[in-house]
Amino acid sequence: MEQYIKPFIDVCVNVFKEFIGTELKVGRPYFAESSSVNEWDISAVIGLTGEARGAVVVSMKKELAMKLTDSLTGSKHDKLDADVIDAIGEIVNIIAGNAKKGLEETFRLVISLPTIVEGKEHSIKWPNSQARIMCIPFDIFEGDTFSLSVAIESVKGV
Amino acid sequence: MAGKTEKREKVSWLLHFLSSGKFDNPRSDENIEKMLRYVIFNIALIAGATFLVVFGLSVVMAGNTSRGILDIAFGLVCLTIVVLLRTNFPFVVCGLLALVPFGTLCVLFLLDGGERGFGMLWVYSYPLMATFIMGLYAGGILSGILLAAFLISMLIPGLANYNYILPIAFRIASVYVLVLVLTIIYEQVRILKDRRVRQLWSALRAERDEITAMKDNLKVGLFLLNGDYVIQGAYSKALENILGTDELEGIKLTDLLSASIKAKERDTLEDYFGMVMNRSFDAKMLEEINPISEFTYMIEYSNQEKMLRTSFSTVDRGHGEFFILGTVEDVTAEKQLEQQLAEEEAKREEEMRALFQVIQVEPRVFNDFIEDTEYEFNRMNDTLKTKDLSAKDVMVDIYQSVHAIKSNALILGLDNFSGKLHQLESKLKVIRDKDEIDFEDMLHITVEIEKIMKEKDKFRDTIAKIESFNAVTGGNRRQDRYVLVETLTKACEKASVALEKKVKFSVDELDGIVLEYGPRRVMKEVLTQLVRNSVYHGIESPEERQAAGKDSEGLIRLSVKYGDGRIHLKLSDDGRGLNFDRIREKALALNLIRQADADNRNHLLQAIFSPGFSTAETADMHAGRGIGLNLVRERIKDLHGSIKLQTEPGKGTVFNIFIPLEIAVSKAS
Repeated sequence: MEQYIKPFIDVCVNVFKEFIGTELKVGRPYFAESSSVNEWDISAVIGLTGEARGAVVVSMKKELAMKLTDSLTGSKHDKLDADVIDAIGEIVNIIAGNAKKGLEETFRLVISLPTIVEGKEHSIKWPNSQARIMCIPFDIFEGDTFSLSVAIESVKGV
Repeated sequence: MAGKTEKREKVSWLLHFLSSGKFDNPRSDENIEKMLRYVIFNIALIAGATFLVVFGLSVVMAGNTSRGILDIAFGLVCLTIVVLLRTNFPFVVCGLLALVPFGTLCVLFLLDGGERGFGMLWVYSYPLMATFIMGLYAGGILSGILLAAFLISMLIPGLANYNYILPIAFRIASVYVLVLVLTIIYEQVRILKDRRVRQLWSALRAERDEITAMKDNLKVGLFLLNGDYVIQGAYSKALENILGTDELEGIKLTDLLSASIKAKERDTLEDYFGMVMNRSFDAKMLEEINPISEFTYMIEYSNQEKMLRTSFSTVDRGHGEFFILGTVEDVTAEKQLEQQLAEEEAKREEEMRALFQVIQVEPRVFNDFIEDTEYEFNRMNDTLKTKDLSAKDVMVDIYQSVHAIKSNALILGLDNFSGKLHQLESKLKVIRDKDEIDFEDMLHITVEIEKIMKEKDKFRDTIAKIESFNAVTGGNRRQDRYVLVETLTKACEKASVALEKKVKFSVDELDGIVLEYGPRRVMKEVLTQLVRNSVYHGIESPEERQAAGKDSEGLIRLSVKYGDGRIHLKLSDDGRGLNFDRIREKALALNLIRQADADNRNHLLQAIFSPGFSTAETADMHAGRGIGLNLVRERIKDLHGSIKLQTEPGKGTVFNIFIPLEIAVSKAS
């Protein structure tokens, strides 16, 4: 399982460094219940299938989403508009694209294009019945956080 | 086909010449008879032509010009036929062209007696030539005509110039008939023999083709080794595939395996081949001692690995020449499947055991275990979520929880599960003692915890099934009292059986209020650790006890009382008591106390509750990780309780634990 998660984390760190120009601080992983309420405003879902099945979700609050959009486009945004959603979509697209390179070469995996979900305290129904979801928190811009949530199940016999 | 061209080139020009260049492949068996006729015909023609020309010339020299020219002319006819045979001119016509004039010549010889009466000797060669060149029937008929012709010329007086008297004529004819008959018999026998040979040959070839087809389509690598263990040419196609190497002929098998076996194993293998060659050993025994009956084969120049199964036996190829017949099979998939099956089997066994335990133990005890595990999981997750804890502290906390789960699993006899927890503990220990704990370590541990939780989910599913079954059949649930006593008794039993000690666990008093309102989980956890601790460290082996004048069976006693707003847990054993010398030694070695405090018993007692402290030499499933007493202290501290310890060398140890109940109730709920 680690072998599938690790590339996403590495890619995240690299993408943020290269495109936003900021260092990420990777926090301690923990478990979230699938039923727990999220405080996030925007999430991007990347699906995985093949020898392992599941999804990787990048979630953040709207404040951070706007900040990221600002630094990416150069103009100021004060609400969660189409621009912001496009920008986040683009970042996660790059993350998924880079992770795809490493993962699809090494493992029998197929990675989907990211889907963006937006809404206050939205919750995501996970593709498998797994009760525990692993969350890896990232610290960014001194005080902001976003999280990378993973629920992957390896499929036997593929 | 390549083989044919090669053979054709090898055919000498002489054969090519004698067969009139009509046969692309003179060795081919279908054409051999026809070719033979060509060869005989050509030889006869050339030899005949030579004789005729030479004799003709000598006759001319002798003065008989007309006769000599006839000989020479016929010789030239023979040579012309040699040329004709090379063209598309039909063979039969060529044959007639040669044999009819030759017959005529023979008659002429007979008529005039030839050279001094011996010219008629040519006649005897006629049946041979006619039959061999034209075949049985045509040859027989031609020979018959000649016989008739010369009988007529001899017997009708005045027809021949030469004077044949009757007895001589009959003798000439008899010898001719004899030659003819023998020739016919010979030809007939030859034809029959050829037919038989051809039948045998085609049967043999069909068989050979079958064997080749089988060999080429065989999934098993089949090969012969000579006395130097070199692979012979006729190996099955599958062998190249299995060994991942082409062109195996002439390669020494032991060289081929050099990447897969050590030099020493190679010597063993050669010894073994020697034994196979020896032929005096029992085949079954040879099979048993085959050093590479199943081995991992490394394909040279690639990292591919295969599991191969081999077997060897001797083959006698006649003339005292022996070969080793070897077979190789690729059993990689089979082996993998076997392994997978074994894993599945272990899992299934664990599930069965769990099921069995649930039925045997009491769903309540098992449920308790699941709840406890979930409680520990939440505890670990809370620790993970707490940002201001150092990574090292997180590891220590997780270590305690994993240890607690393991202890519970051991009591229930979930060997496989507790084995996994034991492995996780080992990993935790390594990471805990690292100077720098990085994110990867953290992630790894988190993933491992997740795996453990998945196992737990399975247990929960099992118990849910059993409970639904129990609900139908009306299984009865017993009291908290039973659960606690049962758990501790089991813990005591498990540990003492594992350590080959005799220990009795007895409960003196069990207060109902405490059981109802007390911190059930903490009490169970703490008492379990202490019971295990007593069995491991306190109680001596039966021999040691008898030597010390004690009952060979040790005794652990528990009383649970309530009074003055606090719970009093008292656990005592009649073991050897604490060994302060060893504690001091270990505590100093682990830097848990300062040298100055080394004689202070209070400090030493503090040390045994520190994380990582253990006087056991090696860690096993039951003790030695040094986490048990640390766990006890942490849990009691959480409940604002206190621990008091009394010990007397040779007499035993008493743990007194006090937990304030009001606080305990609120914390545990």
